[in-house]
Amino acid sequence: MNNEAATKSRKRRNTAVLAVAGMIVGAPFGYLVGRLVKHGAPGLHLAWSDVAALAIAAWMIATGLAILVAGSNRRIAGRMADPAEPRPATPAQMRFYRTQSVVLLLAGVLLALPVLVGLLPGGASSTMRMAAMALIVGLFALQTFWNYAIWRQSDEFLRALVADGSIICFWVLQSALLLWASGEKLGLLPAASLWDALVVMMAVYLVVSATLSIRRGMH
Amino acid sequence: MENRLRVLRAEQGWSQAELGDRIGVSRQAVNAIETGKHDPSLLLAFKIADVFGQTVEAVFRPDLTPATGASQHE
Repeated sequence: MNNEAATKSRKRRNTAVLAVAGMIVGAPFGYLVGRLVKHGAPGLHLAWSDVAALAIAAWMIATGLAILVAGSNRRIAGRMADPAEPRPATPAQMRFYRTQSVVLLLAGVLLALPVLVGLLPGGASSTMRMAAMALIVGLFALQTFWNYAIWRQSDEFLRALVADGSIICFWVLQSALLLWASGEKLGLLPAASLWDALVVMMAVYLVVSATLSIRRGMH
Repeated sequence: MENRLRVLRAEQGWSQAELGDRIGVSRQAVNAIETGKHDPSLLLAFKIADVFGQTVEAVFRPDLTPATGASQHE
């Protein structure tokens, strides 16, 4: 078997292992989230968008932690950067993974925080809600800074991926917003809150960016 | 855009990651260019041509094949 064929074979094997692992982890998680969205959490009265926000936040935090662990070890980070021909990650790759993990962790916390504050026993006081808002503003500023850092560290391929994903999301979401807002104005569709719209936007963004990444070989 | 990246890389015995290091992009970027999933910027195209000691037009050429049927200019 020549080098090229061996590399392809390794890639196929790694993809198959990842697919099986994803199914094992994703199937029960997807079932649980679907059940929560449909029937609600036992003892809690959560809107579908709150359940979806918590599920997305949990996924982001779990992924962020996994990348943080991988980004702290040169060998694991190298395997993540190139599963077919692993080699120790460069300092730039390590820095990139750590920055990416921080952004994901912050995004997860930002999405979960408003829901979790609303779940406090007895309801959150006005002071607590203001403190939570101040925390959200601070974390958002930090996340924006780290997002910009990722953009600066990225090569043109990754920037094109982000830009194309943003274009698709804008087109899909503004179309959905136009149609839903029109239906709502005409009294044909139920009212949606800004929080509902935000959660839908996050979900669409994740699906679009994941799909684009896989299609263009960013794995 | 069609390109001879894979052939030129094989001639040098470089992996995608090694070529990526030489031109300042990730292994994934090299893979995407080789498979036609990403058209490089002019600057990157010049860097790639330079690292192989070739001209840009010797490495890249636009895919002018008509989508269906024969050319209308025939």
